[in-house]
Amino acid sequence: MQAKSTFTGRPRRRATHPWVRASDSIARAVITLGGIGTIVAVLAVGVFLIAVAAPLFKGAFGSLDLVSPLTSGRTAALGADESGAVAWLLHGESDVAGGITVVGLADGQTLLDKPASDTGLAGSSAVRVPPGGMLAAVGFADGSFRTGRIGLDSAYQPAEELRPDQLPKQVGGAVTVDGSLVVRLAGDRFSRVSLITELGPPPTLPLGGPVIDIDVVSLAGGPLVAAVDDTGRIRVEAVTSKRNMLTGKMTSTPKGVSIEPPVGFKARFIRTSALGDQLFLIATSGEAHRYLIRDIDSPVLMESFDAGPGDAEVTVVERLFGGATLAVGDSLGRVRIMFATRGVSEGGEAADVGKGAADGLRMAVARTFEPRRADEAVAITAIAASPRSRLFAVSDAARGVRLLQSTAGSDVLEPPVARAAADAGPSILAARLCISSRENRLLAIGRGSLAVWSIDTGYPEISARTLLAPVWYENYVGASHAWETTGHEAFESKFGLVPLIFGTLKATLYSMLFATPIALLAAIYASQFMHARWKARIKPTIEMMASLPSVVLGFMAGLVFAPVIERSLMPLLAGCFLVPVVILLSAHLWQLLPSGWRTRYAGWRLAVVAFGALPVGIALSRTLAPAAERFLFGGNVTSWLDGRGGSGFGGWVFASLPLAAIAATALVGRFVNPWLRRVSGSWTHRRAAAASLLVFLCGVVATVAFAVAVAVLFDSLRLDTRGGIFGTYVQRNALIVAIGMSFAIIPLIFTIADDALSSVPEHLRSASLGAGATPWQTAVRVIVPAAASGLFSAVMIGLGRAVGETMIVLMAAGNTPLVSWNLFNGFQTLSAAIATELPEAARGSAHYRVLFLAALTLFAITFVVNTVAELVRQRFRKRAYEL
Amino acid sequence: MGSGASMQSVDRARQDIASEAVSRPGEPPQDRLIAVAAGLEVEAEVHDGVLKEPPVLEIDRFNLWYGTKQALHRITMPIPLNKVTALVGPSGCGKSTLLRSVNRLNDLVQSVRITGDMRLNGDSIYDPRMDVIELRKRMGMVFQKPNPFPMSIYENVVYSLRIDGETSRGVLDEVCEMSLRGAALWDEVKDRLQDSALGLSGGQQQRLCIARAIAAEPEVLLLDEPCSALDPIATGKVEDLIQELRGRYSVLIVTHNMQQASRSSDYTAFMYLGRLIEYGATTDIFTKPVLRETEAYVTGRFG
Ligand SMILES: Nc1ncnc2c1ncn2[C@@H]1O[C@H](COP(=O)(O)OP(=O)(O)OP(=O)(O)O)[C@@H](O)[C@H]1O
Ligand SMILES: [Mg+2]
Repeated sequence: MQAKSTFTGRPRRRATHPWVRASDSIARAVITLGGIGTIVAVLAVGVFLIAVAAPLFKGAFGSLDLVSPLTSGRTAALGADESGAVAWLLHGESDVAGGITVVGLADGQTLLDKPASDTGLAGSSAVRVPPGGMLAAVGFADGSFRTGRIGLDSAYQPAEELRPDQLPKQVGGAVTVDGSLVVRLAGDRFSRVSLITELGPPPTLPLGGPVIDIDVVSLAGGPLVAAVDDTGRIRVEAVTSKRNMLTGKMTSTPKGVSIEPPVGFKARFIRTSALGDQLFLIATSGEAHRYLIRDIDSPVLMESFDAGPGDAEVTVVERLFGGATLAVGDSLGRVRIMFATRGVSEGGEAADVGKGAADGLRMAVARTFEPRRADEAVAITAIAASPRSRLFAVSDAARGVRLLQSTAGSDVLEPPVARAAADAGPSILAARLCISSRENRLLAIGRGSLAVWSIDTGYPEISARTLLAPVWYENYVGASHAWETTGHEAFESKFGLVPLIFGTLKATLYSMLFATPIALLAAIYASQFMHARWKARIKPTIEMMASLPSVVLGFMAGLVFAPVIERSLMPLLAGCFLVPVVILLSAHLWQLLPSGWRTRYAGWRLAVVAFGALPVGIALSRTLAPAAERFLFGGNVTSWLDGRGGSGFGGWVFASLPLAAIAATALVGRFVNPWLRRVSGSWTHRRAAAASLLVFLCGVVATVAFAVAVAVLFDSLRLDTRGGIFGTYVQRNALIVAIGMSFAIIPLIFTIADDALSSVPEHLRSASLGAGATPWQTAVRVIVPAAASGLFSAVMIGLGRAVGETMIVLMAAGNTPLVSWNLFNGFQTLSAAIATELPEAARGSAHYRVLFLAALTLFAITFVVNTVAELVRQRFRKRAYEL
Repeated sequence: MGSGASMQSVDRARQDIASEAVSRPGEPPQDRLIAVAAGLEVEAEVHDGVLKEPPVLEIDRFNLWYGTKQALHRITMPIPLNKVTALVGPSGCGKSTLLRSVNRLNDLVQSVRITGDMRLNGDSIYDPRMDVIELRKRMGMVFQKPNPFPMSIYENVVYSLRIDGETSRGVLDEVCEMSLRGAALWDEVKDRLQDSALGLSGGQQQRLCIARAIAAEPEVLLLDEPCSALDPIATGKVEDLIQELRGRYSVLIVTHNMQQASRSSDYTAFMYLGRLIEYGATTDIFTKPVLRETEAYVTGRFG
């Protein structure tokens, strides 16, 4: 081989070593896999969230199962068993009147017949069995009425106790065994269903004429029943129970009261609220009265209202689930949702109808469901409430049946009236409707037939509108954004995502407003001004702050800072203004020192600020706080924030101070400084420093004057910051969160921003300084723009942390889902809601799915934030390439 | 003691070298440079002509250390007023360091320590009471590597006016054009003044930096190899500019190009390993230098 000349005497192997190749391809494979894996994992999380949340928006579905002829004439009452397999109907006409028939809903076969003689319901003229139970009230033609239990009682039936021929063959099928029924449930389980008809004792005082309407609710002591007879006389009776403290024995005493209705008023409908404190009397004409019957001995007329305005006649009144809302159907096909609410309604769909009453409530129409078809104004014939939600069924004289949701105001479903297009349809002019306990069956009974639908209502209370738009919830003053999910079963959960999204944005905004300037200024200081030796110590310290667990920060913010800040709110507010002023003042005074001192002690400037100006500023804030509180907030800032006392002046002063300061700085920088520079060319340093101190003091005075002027102006316009960015002070509030969160965000932004600023090439700094720029000018004009993409990334990473932060907001934000910019009140974020509520949400429930939707929203927000951040960063980077 | 004895012997050896090394024309040139390399004090040859000129900048026994490593040794040289002074010397001999010391950019390097002084028009540059910012405003500097700011060409040129708070558009426009013309860049960029300066070629960037420096109207212009990245035509234009400035500005220029030094400077200083070796009128340095080493260097026989 030919000898080659070499520099080092060591020939180089030109072939790449197999090991190098192997590790190259391994690295490439691992990186590719990791990258794809990450993308797939993120996508999978997104898909999973969507999969869980999507069923919320799946529509309702219904199919007609059965139309079965009936021969019995009018039906007085209708109900179904718990599983929705069998139904009972109480005949109200002809020779079977007062008798109850139980039919199987699979085939329409009669399974049981209980004649009037056995039921004790002969002569009944009004029967009411509120949905979801067996509590019943029966009014009789002779004016008497009774409460009792009517319905189908289900119990678990072990299959072994029965012979095989006593078991129904298919799911939903029923067989009569020994006077009761065996129903086959899904999964080879059986239940024993028996028909119950029990009536209690007669009333202490019956009515005079036939009872035309009756209502009953179950209270702690016993049932409360209210009945009206054909002359319009009203009787309310309740059983109150008392426990003897010594013997522990319960004594029940029936109590009752007769109510003389207003002259000329004849009630056709009588309804009580579920709590038994309100009594509603409604005439066909729509004239209606609301009584307070909390004390049953002395009912008080609270207000009169119009339940059916215009020519329309009221045809049906039904109490919806939850017990405080009435659905009133009229002869023009409208259904109006009404409840008593506190205060004046605003933004509701219809004007309130009541005039306001002694109890501070007034009846309001939350919404009106228009007729099924606009041109077809036919009377509503029946309304049935669901026993478990604000869903209700409505039938009209045009033989239409609909499922509606009162809160969402939505038409949930119009179940098909024919099984096929060719069928004539059930043709039921429904007089009674029933929704089964599990909302899986809808029954309609008309003269001559029974129709049965299988229904799947989905999540009728949830729609894009209820999630995002204001909704008028029961007993609320008007439409509002609300998130409220705890409470007992009858309590209506409110799934408005807006308060949570708002809370997330509020936490992010206030935290970023607080943390970003501090972090960026600190990074500029550290990278441009701080001595390397100091920086080597301070930077790791700040970075260590980032590793503090957020639960610790939340704890600190919520339990340590919050009480302290609450106690010293005014000094804090004063300090926001005074501390910067004192620090800037100290910088100006520093320039007045003899130049020898100045240069000799240049390294001590930070120490002077930290241990001189800062404490002086704080002390000054503490001293001046009481005076400022008197002058601006009428002596007490907390009660001023509550809206008690004081004018809007103080709030405007504080709100406009930052803007005034910026304006003053801009004006001084634009006009005064250039002029000063021109005239001060030949001045000594001292004289120039004195002049600029003077300018600074004038600037401070101008700032305050400007803020005061703005405050006077806005105050005279009757504008107030209270209700805007200021308002009632709550101990855990946005300010506390901002402070707590800043401990998490500042180190993050600081570190990345400092890296970005420090990596700006040194030669740019030299060029700028060499041109005679001050370090600050260099930082602002050259370094910061050159590092803009890195600084932006830093801020966006901080933002990402703030958006998703959970523990700090959970512990320091008070978790009150409010929509208000008030710096001093609490809020709840998406993340906090998910963290607190998901563990207790039932799998598959609307709550559970809405929480997943909240997670998806959070995911989307972070995704958007990060994407926008990346796009903006790319732009910055394109500008700053090739440094 | 062993170590003391060995120290003494080393010192003696050094003295021997030094006594041999102080060379005059006719002696081997390497000796003086060997002495310098051995770390001995060697008197600089400063011609009388330089000392007669009124100085704008007096460098007075200036020493500079980067940490423990000394980069400048007792430099004493007056820079004549309104003349062009060239600094030549082999790579790494401290020319840039000296230039950066003049406007105290070495303050930025935390390991730097100095002794001695420099005076600008009689004001001590290293006086603790000296305002560095004002000092730097009196000097313009062009660096060895082009370092335009990441902003538009226009903003780069008027940077010094901007930091002085100049806002008049007319003034800015005029200064921008004049400076760019002076730096022989105007024709190439007049249609793209608002484009990023980073889009310029390396040579254009360097001329932009020259424009930026002269836009500041400095008393002293410090040029650190301004033409190292330029083609002969642009180099010629920059030299024309220097000719134009001659007599009105004091220019201190570092160059590796001997023709350039001989063509465009009035005085030339030759440095070696942090020391000033010879300093005199350019014609003298290039035609009849006192020291052989200088002659060897400027004629390209070593260095
Ligand atoms: N920041 C620094 N820290 C430590 N040593 C440095 C630093 N800058 C320069 N030096 C050293 O100081 C010496 C002088 O460097 P300088 O840059 O002044 O040389 P120069 O004469 O400009 O060379 P060139 O002609 O190659 O530009 C060199 O040995 C160099 O390694
Ligand atoms: Mg150099």
